[in-house]
Amino acid sequence: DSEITNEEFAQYDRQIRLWGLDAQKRLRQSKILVAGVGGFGSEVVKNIVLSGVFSVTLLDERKVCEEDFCSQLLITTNHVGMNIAEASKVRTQELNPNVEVYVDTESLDSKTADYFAKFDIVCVTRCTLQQRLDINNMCRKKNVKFFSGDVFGFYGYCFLDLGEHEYVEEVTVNKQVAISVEDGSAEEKTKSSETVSIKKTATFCSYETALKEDWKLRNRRSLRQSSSVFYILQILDEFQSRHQRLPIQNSMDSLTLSLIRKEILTKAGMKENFVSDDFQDFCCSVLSPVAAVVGGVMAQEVIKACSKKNKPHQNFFFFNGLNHTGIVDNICPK
Amino acid sequence: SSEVNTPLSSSVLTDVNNAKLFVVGAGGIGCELLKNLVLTGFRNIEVIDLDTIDVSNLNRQFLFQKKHVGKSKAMVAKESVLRLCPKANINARHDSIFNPQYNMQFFKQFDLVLNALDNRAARNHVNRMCLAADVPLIESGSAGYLGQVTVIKKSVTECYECQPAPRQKSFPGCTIRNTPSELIHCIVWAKYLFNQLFGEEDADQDVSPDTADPEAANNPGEKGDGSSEENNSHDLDKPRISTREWARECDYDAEKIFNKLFHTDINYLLSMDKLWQKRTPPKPVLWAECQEIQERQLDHQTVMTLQENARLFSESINALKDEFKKQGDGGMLVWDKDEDPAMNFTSSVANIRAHIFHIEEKSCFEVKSMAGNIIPAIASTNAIVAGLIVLQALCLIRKRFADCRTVYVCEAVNDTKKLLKPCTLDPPKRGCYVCAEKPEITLKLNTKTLTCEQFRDKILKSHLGMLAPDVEILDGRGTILISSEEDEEENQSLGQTLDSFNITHGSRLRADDFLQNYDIVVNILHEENLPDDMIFQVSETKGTIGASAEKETTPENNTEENSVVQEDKIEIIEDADPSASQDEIPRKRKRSSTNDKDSVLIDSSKRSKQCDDSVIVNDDNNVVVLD
Ligand SMILES: [Zn+2]
Repeated sequence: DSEITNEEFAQYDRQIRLWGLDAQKRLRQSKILVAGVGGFGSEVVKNIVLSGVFSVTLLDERKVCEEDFCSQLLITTNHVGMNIAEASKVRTQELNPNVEVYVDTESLDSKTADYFAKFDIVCVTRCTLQQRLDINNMCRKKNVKFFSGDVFGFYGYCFLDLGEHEYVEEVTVNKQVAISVEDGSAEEKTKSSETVSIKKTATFCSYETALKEDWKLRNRRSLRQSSSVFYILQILDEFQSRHQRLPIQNSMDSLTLSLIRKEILTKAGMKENFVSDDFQDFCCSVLSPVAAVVGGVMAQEVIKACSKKNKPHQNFFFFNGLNHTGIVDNICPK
Repeated sequence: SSEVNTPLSSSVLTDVNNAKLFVVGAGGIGCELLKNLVLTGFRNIEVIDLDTIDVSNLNRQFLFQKKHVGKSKAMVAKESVLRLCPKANINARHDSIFNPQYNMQFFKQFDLVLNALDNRAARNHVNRMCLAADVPLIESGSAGYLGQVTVIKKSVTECYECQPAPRQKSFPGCTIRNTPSELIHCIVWAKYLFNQLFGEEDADQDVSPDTADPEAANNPGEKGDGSSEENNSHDLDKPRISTREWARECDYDAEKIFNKLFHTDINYLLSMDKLWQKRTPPKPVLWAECQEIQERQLDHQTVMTLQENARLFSESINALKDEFKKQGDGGMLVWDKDEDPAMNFTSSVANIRAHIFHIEEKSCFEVKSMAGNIIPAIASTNAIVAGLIVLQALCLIRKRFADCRTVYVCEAVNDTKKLLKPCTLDPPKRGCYVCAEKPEITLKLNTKTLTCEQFRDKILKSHLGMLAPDVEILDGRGTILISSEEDEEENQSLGQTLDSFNITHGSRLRADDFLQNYDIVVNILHEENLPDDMIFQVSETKGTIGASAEKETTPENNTEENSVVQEDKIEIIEDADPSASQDEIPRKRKRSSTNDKDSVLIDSSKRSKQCDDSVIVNDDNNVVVLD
């Protein structure tokens, strides 16, 4: 039954007034997968569960560790050692009893295209570049909308591949209506505005394709408006592929990161100072406020994608918590 | 815990652990903020909120659940956050920030104050307390997809009140009573009618035809001998019977009230024919014309027919009558957008009146937005804003003040690609009447007609945001004009005009608010010819500011009106939240807090800010609004 109950109306009142009833109805039919329920994943889960989607599945094979208490908002201190998806379930359900909450403690690598096809939207966080590329491609084949995102210390990003995405945008148009007064002696014009819904389509490229853009073709103005976080992400991906882990705050890892920075930027034909030379001091672990910012942006994009309401950000969002700048950049070979 | 991997250095983490913070508000932004603070490592937090939890909070205020509805936000937020971090030291206060116990000494104990408020009055007050105590303040707000965060530091940055408040939306009384042309006029009228019938009676909220309408001049509207009952009741000077008494006498009979409001009174308006020379005249309706043959279920999401609105009117007036009677003698109802009978009454009355005046009707749902000034609010924007607040807090803790920014959260990006747009902080505005070293303001007003009470309520409290002003006349003798200590009854002088205290052109007064540790010199310019409806004008004369009283100023030549406050212009003052308007703001204090939760009132569209990439931002994306 797709009728929204009075109880739901009361609960979602403030957001229905923002995105409308149709959008809310589409939201409550959407099935979402969130793979990776660390600090950043927990922010995304919170926001989409509050919005009133149909179901959310928390997928993570990892156990709760001390570091999680600096950013993960769905667990409590007595969960140490427990599977983090399992540990997050109770709090997630408390956020919104209308939403079905499922937990999956298997590994992300064990999942096939058919698994992802069961969802309307797949979000992956805390995963390797290879996982991101593979799952994005599986989702493309199955017409599932794909998101990835993560936070590294003060830096964060999110990426969207919505394929061929149809959405509705509301535009307010003003019109003037002339009303003749009965005796015809005068004419009164009343202004009235009307909201018109316009259907639009946006076409996205895959993560794999996005990485093929040649940044040497970007002009100076364009580079000034681009975010260094795109390259910080690549540096961290490279670190992870070499060490099978993310860096921690120590001098050994700092040194390695500096070297990778030089390699990556040189290979891309970018100036080395495009990424600041102290970035390695600020890119470890997950800083809670940064997770809140990037998780807020990503969840809002998930909500837009589910509800097919409003223009999605195309296709990357980058946040640098040291200079408070959040940038949307369309990274795709032209 | 120093072993834990974190992007904060151990010395910063120690400072974070030891910092003492004051969070003002535990609503949309407050919940997110408290969570971020404890996860980041802040351990000493006081949080204050007067509000209780409502079901409409649950889509974003994630520290609360359905079982908490009706409980204190501050208390539940504390318990909920302690589950995340049991060793945090959190003190929750279910109290008003205006409570005098939160004085300058109280504010001085904190390293940092973080506002997560939803109304301008409280923001103004905390701004003044932080200036007085010299504690840095992080200010924030959100509305729908938009949000904003900024940092306020005494003598270094703009204060919250350096930018004048956007003008309150107001409508002339005669538009509301005689010639509505938009649905909002009908909604304001419906809310007045509610108060006339069931609420606190207010002479400024008359709903009967306004015979003093200048547009109807030389047209008293009286046809024939003018001796009918109805016509007499319209005589403003000597109303024979109040709307409430009349309604009580007919026992709130829906049909009788309907016919008086929507037929008799409309016919009276029609008799003021000057009003309709250039307007489409209204079309009176009778109760009998609005009876349905076949009743269908009322749908609050769609626009109702006239017949359906008449039914809703009848149902809601009966429900309100029962509630009103339960209050007993002298009791009254408080209008609340979340109370169905009050909202149904407002919507049906507004829509019937709209029908009569050929104005497009709207659904109950939409009328509620307008009547309750509801600002949409979502979890994700609040999460983003709260994250940005903590990043500003970290700049302050790391003693990197130069890194602090005003950050705007936009809905979409333009060519600068910035969704989160940092802008450098502005220095204090010269002549700000709050944060200037010696605040001073020059007012044009009629000293022969303005009473001390009007001076106190409309100027000192409403316009200058004082809570309990003391006023001294700077006449060399220290004459006390108004004392905050005395009761209303004892303050005999309140009803007297300013000139009866020898306040004339060129007089200077000092108004002082003890709690806010704020005083301002008010220069008076006597002006008898203020434009219609205005009781004072702020005069921004460069020569007068800081000049002595003896200096002659000719208002016509070198003054520039930058602010106008009009009497008898209707303001929508109703706060979304009745508890806030009753308790948070002491009674009778009409402040310009017209908004719902979480919103901030800084209109960046009026400023061109220097942004980090040296691009002047002055585009639509940057318009963050609100209140
Ligand atoms: Zn100021």
